[in-house]
Amino acid sequence: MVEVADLSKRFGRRIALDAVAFHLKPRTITALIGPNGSGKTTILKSLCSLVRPDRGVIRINGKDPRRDPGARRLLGYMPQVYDFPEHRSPRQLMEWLKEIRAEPTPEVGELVSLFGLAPEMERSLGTLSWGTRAKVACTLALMFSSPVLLLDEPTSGMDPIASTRLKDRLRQERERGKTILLCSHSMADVAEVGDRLLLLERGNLVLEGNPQDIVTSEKTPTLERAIAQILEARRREKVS
Amino acid sequence: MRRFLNLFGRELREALGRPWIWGSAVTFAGGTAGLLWATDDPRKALAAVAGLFPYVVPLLGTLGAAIELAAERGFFELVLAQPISRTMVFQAKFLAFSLAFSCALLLGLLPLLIAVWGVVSPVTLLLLVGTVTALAWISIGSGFLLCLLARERVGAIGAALVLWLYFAFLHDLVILWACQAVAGSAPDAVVLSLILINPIEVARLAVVLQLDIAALLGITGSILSRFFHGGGLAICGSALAFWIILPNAAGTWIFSRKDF
Repeated sequence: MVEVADLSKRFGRRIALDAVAFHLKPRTITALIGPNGSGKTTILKSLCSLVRPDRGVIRINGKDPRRDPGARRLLGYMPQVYDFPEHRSPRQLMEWLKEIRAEPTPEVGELVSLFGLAPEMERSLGTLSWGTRAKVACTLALMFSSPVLLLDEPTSGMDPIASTRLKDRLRQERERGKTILLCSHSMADVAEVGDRLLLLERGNLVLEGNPQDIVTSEKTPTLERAIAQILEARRREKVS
Repeated sequence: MRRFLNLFGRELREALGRPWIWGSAVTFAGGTAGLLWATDDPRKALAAVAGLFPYVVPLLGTLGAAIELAAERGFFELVLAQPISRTMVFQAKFLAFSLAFSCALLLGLLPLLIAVWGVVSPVTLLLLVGTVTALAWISIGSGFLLCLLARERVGAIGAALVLWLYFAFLHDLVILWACQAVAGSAPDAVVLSLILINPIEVARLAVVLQLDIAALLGITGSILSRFFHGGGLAICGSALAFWIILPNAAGTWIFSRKDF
């Protein structure tokens, strides 16, 4: 469904991505993890053409989303920063996206109710808390029933109820055959919903595997400890 | 096309809701009404407006557009991830804000246009409307371009102010210095080309030449009185058209390649 090969990007002198390659299968939740600045958001932004890679190939269902804007119809994207027009309401934002995409949104009512957004729908976005904006952003990403979902730190700022409901929803979406890629710093979330993880370090893909298998092979009680152990071992190797 | 019109309609509604657009209309209306009240001859008010609007419109438009686009930067992250071309997004925004800004300015000029109706020739009025509109479109395009070139909102505002200061005041000094450097022997065509680089000066020329008050223009006026013989307006029109296209084309090119 999603194929990435030799993806490279520099911001000035800093290498953000260095020949990253992976593919994502339908009916799979893949978690993109790594330290701050490792290139997770750059990968997501490259996939939806917000960032122009210096080199590499991106194919979504065989189409290049940068050359063919129509291919972005296959994507639902939730950004990391919810910098929406402050004077507009969530309803206006949803209608605006609906106009742009000219696609039906059969599940928007269900999503609004899932995240408890009904009382906030007419308020201006500038008055909403960060967590509520996260729920709005998540609704915007899920409302078109796109086959590929790209979610950047989706549970960040959300309350436990919304976070739990979102994870349940993501599992449902996977069962419906969707391809889901999410960035997260929450290893608990990754362990809970992720079928597969991609570990990035300084723009390089250093590990790929099933979260549970990684915990087992590292002989640690949690995924967070396993990942920390792997990254620290790599740093020690580099120093020596 | 339908999608572009949807996007344009949405942007136009956004633009018409912006306080700075309506503030520009009120400023213009207040200014022209004040001048009409202060002078007993509407022609004098028209001459004063013709001397002032080329400075005021670019200041309001460039700053407003730069701030506008800077405020939208984060939102582009959501918009540009949608199945829509970047060129379409940028053009819809440019056209909507240029149209809204120029209409607001013309609304502000309405008291003056009514007062001088029948007093001056329709060509002069048409020229005033045309140059105000052209400057409005040029300043929106320039403001958007500067915002795309600057990294931060503060940088965009600073660049807009510097550009305005240069074209409003410093460019004439540069021409004067250039003439002095070659001991007054610069060919008129060269001096004229230097003048045509400045859209503020071009807009001022277009109206002032029509009003036959070239003495208001100082050094520029003396050169132009000699050079223009009826073909001046066509040259001014072409220069303004070039200035509308240039920042918009550059802005579209940068916008379609920028990382968000």
